[in-house]
Amino acid sequence: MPSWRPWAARCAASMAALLMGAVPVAVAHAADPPAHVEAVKIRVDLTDGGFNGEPGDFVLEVEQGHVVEMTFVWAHVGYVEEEHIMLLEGYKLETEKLNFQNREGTIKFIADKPGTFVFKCDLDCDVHDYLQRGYLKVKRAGSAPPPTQEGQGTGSPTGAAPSGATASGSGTAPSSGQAVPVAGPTLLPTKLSVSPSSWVTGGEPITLMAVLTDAKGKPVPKAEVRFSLDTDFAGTKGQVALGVAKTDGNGVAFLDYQPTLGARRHAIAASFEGQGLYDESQQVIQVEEVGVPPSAYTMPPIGLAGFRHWAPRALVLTIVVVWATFGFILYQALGVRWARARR
Amino acid sequence: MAATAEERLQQRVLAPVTHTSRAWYLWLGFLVLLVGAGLFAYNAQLQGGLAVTGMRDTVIWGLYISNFVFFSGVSMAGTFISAILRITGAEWRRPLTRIAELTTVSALLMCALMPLVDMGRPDRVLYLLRYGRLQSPIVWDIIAITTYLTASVIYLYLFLIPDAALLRDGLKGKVSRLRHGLYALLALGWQGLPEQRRRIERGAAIMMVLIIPIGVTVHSVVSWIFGMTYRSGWDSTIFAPYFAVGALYSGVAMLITLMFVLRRVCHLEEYLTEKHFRYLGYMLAAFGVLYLYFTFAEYLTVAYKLEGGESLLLEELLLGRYSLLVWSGFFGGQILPILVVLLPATRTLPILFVASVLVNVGMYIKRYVIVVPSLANPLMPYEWGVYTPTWVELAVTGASFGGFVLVFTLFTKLFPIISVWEMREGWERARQPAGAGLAAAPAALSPDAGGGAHA
Repeated sequence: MPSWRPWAARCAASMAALLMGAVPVAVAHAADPPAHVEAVKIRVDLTDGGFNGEPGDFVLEVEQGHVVEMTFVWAHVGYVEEEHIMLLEGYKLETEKLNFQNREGTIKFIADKPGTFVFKCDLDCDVHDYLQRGYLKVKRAGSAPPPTQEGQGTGSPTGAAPSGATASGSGTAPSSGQAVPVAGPTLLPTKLSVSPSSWVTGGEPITLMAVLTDAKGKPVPKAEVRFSLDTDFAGTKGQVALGVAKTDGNGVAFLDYQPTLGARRHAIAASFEGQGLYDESQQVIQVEEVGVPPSAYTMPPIGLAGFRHWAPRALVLTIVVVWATFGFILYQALGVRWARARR
Repeated sequence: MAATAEERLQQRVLAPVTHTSRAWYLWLGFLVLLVGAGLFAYNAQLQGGLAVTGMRDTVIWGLYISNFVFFSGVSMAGTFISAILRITGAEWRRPLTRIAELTTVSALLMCALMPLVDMGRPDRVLYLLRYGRLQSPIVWDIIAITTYLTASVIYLYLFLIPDAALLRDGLKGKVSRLRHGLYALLALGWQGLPEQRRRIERGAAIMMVLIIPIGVTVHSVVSWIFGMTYRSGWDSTIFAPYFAVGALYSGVAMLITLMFVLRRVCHLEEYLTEKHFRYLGYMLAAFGVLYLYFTFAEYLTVAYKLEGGESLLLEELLLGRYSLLVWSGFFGGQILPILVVLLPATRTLPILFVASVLVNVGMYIKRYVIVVPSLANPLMPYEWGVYTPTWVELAVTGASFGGFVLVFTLFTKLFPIISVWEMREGWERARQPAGAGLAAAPAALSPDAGGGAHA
């Protein structure tokens, strides 16, 4: 297949996604939260001296189960050329690139996993060291005191505490203020569609396309979709990872796949493990390879199966014969002693 | 009264057994120190894991596997040459067969150790037996090496039985009771009876035929570990014969090296004559030329196609970071020794010795550039690997060579390095009229024929 074909396929697929109504207006930080839940809003300023101007460890706390909206604000004074992409590890969320022109980036998610998660700048910038020590502590649900207020707020170690969250700079005691949602938020359901369902290839690579949408059909951008293949290796069934692709603004992810198994039918699974506000989803497709010319490497099934069957047995037989011969020779050697005894 | 040739032979080959010089102790101390240093390094590896070596996730094999391939090659040639010469009835073989067979056993011991050393968790070697599958070349390798080691020990031992009896009878009261007991145990009550000879000869006849395919199998299987892997530089159909010829080439060279040293140290000039070195030199040249042909064929097919990964690897080997090793190994280890052996003017003993050492160094380099660059060469564009052996690997490698020589040193202290029995048999055979059987040979034998200077 000519090299331009995968790109042409991608363009066509993107157009198709657009026509289906998957308008690229929603990105991760702008996705609608569950309607019945107030988000805990946290603002973090990225300054020349670290998060909110504090060079040490910067700790934020939220309670498990909240919808959290973290907004990172580019607020440099001395380093105006600085650019950052803020990453929240564990939740696999990141902002757009933040710089002088694009100062704010928000990630929104349901804090469903308890634990301490690092957030940091994922680029190597001049103030990189200062922006590597942010921690989001998600406390187990029920471990916090009863809620005292609800609503939104802006959190910083030195400023006002956010609702549902506490923050502390280096050595600073956590601010007060806890909040829990009125009702526990639930992840937004998603739907994953994978195509094509069949292809014609003579061993040429093909492009797999996955479209991830929410229940309303809106695209889910910047989401990781994992592709894997059901296979059988020497009698053991398992899955081979084909690769990971990220959805674009249309919620479309592409992966080039080179069929190498020589099988006519391929069971390919695409899975989204859940991210931010979105719940997991997966789809398995059975794709059929049609029009494949006979492979030069394919042996007649009976011959190959027969070889597999008798080759190990022949090997074992050979080994047994050789070692039995050793035994016979040692018997001859020991016969030297017996010959003396008979004399 | 002048001593007969047989008596002179016994005196000469038993001298290292009965007399221990100060130099021998010093040499032994040096070897023990070398092996001890290797053990110390290996302990560091056990404590710190394979991180103390230069091997990493990309270059997963280094010096240890190079040693493994090298010793495997050396081991193939020894018994193989001995068996071929016995089968073809080459009389000149007699003084050198034991050295050749011992070379095999000693090299195989080191060869078998190397994969264990290469394992970060040697305790998991049993997993290969518990979970290993017959379809795996690694399992083939374990089977082949174990079989060859067993066969080589049996082969060495069969021809040692009469000499053990000689030591048992000749050294009674002159050596410790423990040592005398060892000789008696190994001699199996040998008295030289026709029935005993018949049994030994029957066993030896089978072994000398059987051991040739086993020997070839060992080095073929070693090559298939590489050849059955999709890797640039390894994905080759001619690796088995290529490796086998390389093994014979380096093995003959090692035999020449050891014979030269033993000849000097044990004063065996009367038995290991220039003729033996000349004949082995011819073998060396023949195997060397054959190896050159394989090298040419291997590189030409790759260089003609210049397929992606192979092209990168070839560039690295011939022009890149391994070029110095490759070219020095090629000229120093192949071209120069072959020329030296083929030219009558340079076919002298000292030059042959130097040539044999050069071959061994060259072939070690060759094994290194087979193992490492293929791993360092990227499987994918971003997987560049770098490998530099650490002191741990160098110390263990030194210890393996020390251990190889140590086996020889201890063996010559315990047993005659030339088979007295075989030499005597040669003299007997030469004395007999054509067509007469060996069993009918007279008891009193003239030693004026057979191997050594009399051959």
